[in-house]
Amino acid sequence: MDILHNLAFGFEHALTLQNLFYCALGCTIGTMVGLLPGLGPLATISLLLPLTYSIPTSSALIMLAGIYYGAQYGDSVSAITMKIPHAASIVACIDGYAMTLKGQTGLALFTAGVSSFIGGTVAIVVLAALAPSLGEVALLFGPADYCALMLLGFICVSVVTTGSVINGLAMCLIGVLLGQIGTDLETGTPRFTFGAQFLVDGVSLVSVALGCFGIAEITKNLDEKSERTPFNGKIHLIPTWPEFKRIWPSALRGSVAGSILGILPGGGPTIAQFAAYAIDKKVSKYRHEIGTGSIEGVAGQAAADEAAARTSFIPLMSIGIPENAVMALMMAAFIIKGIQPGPNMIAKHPDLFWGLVASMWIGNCFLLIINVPLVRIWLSVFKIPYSVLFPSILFFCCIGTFSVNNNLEDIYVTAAFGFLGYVMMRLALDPAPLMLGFILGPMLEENFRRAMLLSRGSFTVFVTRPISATLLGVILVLFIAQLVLMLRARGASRAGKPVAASERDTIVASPESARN
Amino acid sequence: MLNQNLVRGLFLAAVALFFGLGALRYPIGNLSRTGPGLFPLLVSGFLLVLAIATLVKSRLVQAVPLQFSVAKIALIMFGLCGFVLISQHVSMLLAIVFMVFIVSYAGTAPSWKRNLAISAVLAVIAYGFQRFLGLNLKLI
Amino acid sequence: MKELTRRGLIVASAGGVVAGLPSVASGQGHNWPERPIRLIVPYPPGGSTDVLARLLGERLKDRLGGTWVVENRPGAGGNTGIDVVAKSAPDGYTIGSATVGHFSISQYLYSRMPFDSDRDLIPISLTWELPNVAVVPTQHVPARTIPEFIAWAKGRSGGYFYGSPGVGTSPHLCGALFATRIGLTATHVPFRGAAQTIPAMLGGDVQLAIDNLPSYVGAIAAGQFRVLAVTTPERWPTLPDVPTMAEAGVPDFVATSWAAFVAPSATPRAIVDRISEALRAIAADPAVQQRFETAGARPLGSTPEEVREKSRHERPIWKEMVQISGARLD
Repeated sequence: MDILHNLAFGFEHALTLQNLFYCALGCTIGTMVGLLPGLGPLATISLLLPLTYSIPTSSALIMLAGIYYGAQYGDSVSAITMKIPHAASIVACIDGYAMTLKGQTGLALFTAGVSSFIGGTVAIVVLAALAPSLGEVALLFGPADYCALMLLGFICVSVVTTGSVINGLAMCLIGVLLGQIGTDLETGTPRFTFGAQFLVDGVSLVSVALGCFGIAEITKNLDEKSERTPFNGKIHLIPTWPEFKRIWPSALRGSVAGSILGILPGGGPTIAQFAAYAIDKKVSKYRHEIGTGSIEGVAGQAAADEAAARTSFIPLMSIGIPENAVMALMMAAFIIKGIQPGPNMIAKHPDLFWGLVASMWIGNCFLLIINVPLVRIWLSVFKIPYSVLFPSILFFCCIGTFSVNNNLEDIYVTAAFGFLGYVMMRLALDPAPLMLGFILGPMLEENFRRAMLLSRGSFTVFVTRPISATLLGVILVLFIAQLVLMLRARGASRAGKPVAASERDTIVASPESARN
Repeated sequence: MLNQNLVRGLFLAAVALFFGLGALRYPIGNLSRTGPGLFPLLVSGFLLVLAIATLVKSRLVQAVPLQFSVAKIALIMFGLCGFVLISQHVSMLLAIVFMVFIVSYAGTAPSWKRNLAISAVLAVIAYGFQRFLGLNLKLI
Repeated sequence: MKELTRRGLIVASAGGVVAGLPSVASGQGHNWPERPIRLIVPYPPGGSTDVLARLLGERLKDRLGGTWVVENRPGAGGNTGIDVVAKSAPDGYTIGSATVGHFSISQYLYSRMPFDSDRDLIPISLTWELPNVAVVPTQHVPARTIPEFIAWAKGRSGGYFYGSPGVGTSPHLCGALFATRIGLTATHVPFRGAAQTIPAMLGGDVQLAIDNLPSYVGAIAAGQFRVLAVTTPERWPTLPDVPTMAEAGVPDFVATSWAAFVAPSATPRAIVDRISEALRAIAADPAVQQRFETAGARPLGSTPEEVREKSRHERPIWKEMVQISGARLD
C-alpha cells in the first residue's frame, strides 16, 4: 500500500518532538484567536508569519496550518456562544446559537468539537489518498461550470432561511446587491461607491457578518433588557448515547460535502458550511428540527468547515494554485522558505507534503484534547454579566474589522451593517440567506460574465459543457421536486383544516414538515 | 403603530430602487460584453417584484406591530464611529474609554466604576494584540 | 514623546542644527531606528509584492537593526497603501513598497489620484524587478515562438483571448499593446489574480497571458506553460533560452514590473540614504539573489535619483499602453 507507506513516512516527520511542539502551538494560537470575535485565520496567519522566519520549513508550515484549522474551530465557538461569526462559521449562528438560547451550549460546543474531528479525519484520508491527482479536478471547472455551481448554491436559500421563502429570497437578493458594491472586475467601473475610497474594494464579509449578526443581536438583547442572565445551570457536556448517535451521520455527510467543496477554488469552508447544512435539512432523520437548535444543524456544518479547511490545501500542494486568501498566504510562506509550490512540489519535497498531512491528523487530536475539556472555560463566559460582556464584544468587533485591511475606516462599514442588521431583524428578515447571497452573488456574476465573454455571447456553453449541463439538470430536478411537493402540501392542507397565512409561509419553506 | 409586514415591503422596495436606479447609471452592454449595470439591474428588478408581493400580502394578512427603538442602536453606532475618529486623531486608549462609556448607556444601570474597569481590561488586551500579534494599533 | 523631544533638543543644540521638530532631529540618523518601522505593502498578504517585501524587511532588520513590521494596506489597486505612506509623519518610521504602477502608470489610469509620486514621496531605492512573460498553455496552443503564435492566432476566427489579473494591471496593458503591435484581434479576460488565470489557461479557455513571472514559475517548470518571450530589455537569467520581445520580432516592447521603497517626501535625507545603502548591499548579496530567483524576481538597488530617472523614462510607453488598452479607473 502506497498510501500507508507515505503516511508512515509523513508521521516520521510529524512526530519529532519539535514538530509536535509547533503543531500544538499552532492549534492553540489558532483556537485562541479564533475565539475572539471577528479575528479570523487570515489576519492571524499574516500577523504571525514573521515568527516562522527563524524556524525550519516543515515546522513553520505545520504551525501555520495548525493556526488555520485551529482558528476555523475557534470561530465556531464565538458563533455558537455569542452569535458572532467569522467567514466560515456563519451557519453555526443558526442552530448553534439556537441551542445556546435553549441552554444547551455545552452540548453544541461538544458536537462542534467532535464533528470537527470527524470532518478533519475524513478530509485527511481524502488528502492522503487522492491529493496528487485530485488537484486536477479544479482545472475541469470552467466559468460556465462555476456559474451552474453557484446557481445550485442559491437553492440553499430555501433551507437556510427560518422564515418564509419570500423573505429568504429577498434577503438573498439584498446580499447579492451588497456584493455589487466596489470595483467591477470586468470593466473597472466603481459601482455604488459614492466616491468613498474605502468602498472601492467592496465591503468585507467580516463587516457584514459582524454587523448583521453580532451587533444586531447585541442591540436586540439590550432592547429586550433580557441581558442574558449569568449562566449558572448545570453544564451538560458529554452527550447521552442517543444524542451522540445523532452527531455522526450528519458529521459524515458534512465531511464529504466539505471535502469536495474544499477542493474547488473560490469557496472552501465558507461555502461548504452552507452546503452541509442544506444537505442535512434535506436528508437528515431530524430535518424538521433543524433551524430550531438541533444537533444535526451544528454537526454537519462544523464537520464541513474543518474538512474543507484541510482539503483546500490540495490545489495548492498539487498544482500550485491557492484557492482562497488563506491559501495564498500559505503559498507565500512556502516561497519565503524558498520553495515554489507547483505541480512538482509533492515529488520534490515529499517530506513537507506528507509531514504536513500527518501533522494535520495530529493537530486534529490536539484540537479535540484542547477543546473538549476547555468547553467548561468557554462556558464561564456566561458568568460574566452582560453589561460587562457587550462593550467588550463591540470592542472585539472593532479589532476584528480593523485586522482585515489594517484600516480603521472599515469599522464605519461594520457599524452601518449593525444598523442595517438591526432594521432587518426588527422586520423579521433573516440574515443567513443574505450572507449566502453576499458570498455567491459576486462569484455568480463574475463567472456568468466571463462565460458569456468567452463564448462570445452564446448561451449554449451552459448546456454543452458536461459539468455545467449536469449541474443545471440537478437544479431543474430539485426545482420540479420542490414544486410538486409544494403543490401536494398545499392540496393536503387545503383539504384539512384551514391555515392562517403566516402558517402557510412556513409550509412553503419546508414542505417536508407538512408531511410529518 | 406601524405594521411590520408593510414596513418590510417598503424596506425591500427602497433597497431595490436604491440599487436599481443606481445601476441605470452604468452601461448594460451586450451579451458578449456585458456591462457593469446589467447584473445589479436584473437582481434589483427581482427584488422589486418580491417587495411588491410583500406589500400586497401585507394588506391581506393581519397586521403585526413593528417594534423599533432608535435609541440603543443609535448609541452603539455613535460609540463605534467615535471609536474610529478618536483612534485616528487622538489615541485608541481614549477611544476605548469613550466607546465603553457611550455604549454603556444602551445597557441597564451604567456605572462609571464598572466602565473604567472594563476599559482598563480592554486596554490591556489591546496592548497584548499590539505586542504579541503585531497589530498596529495606535494605543497612545 | 517627551523623551524624544528632549533628545531632539539635545541633538539640535549640540549639533547647532535648527530643528524644531523632534522627528527631524532624531531623523539625522543618530538614533534611528528606535521604534518599530512600518513597511507598508499596498497589496493583500500572499502576493509577490508582499513576499518580496517581507524578504527584504528581514534583511533590513539584520543590517540596520530595529523591528520591521510588514503592514498590508490593500485597496484601490495599491493606491490606498501608498497614500497612507505619503500622508504619514516623515520621520523614517513609515516606508512603503511601491511599484512601477505608482510611479509611471496610475496617473494615466485614474481620473484622480490621492497622491503625486513626484511631490509627496521620496524614493529610497529600486528593490526588485520581475519580467512579464508571454505564456501559452502547452496543451492547447502549439506555438513555440511569437511568429508561430501570430500565425496560429490568425487562423482563429474572432482572434484569441488573453488573461490578466484585472483592468489596468501591467499584464492587461501588455496584452493590449501586444495585440496592437502584432495587428490581431484579441479579447481581454480579467481575472482575480493568476490563481484564476492559470486554471482558465490550462482549461483552454484563454490562450495567452503576458503576466508577472512569479505566479507561473511552478507551472512553467512542470511543462504546463511555454514561455514565448520576456518583456525585459535583455534575456532573463533563469530563462536563458527565451528571447526578448525585440528578438522575437516585436520591437519597442520593454515593460518590466519593478518596485521601489518609498518614504514621505520630507523624510530626512540621512535616513533615506542609510536605507538606500543597505538595500543596495542586500541586492548584491548572492543568497538574496538566489532566493529572489526562486520566486521569479531579481533584487535591485539604486540611489533615489535613479528611481526618479527610471520612473520618468518609462512614462511615455506606459501612457501609450494605457491609451491603447482603453482602461480607465476612478
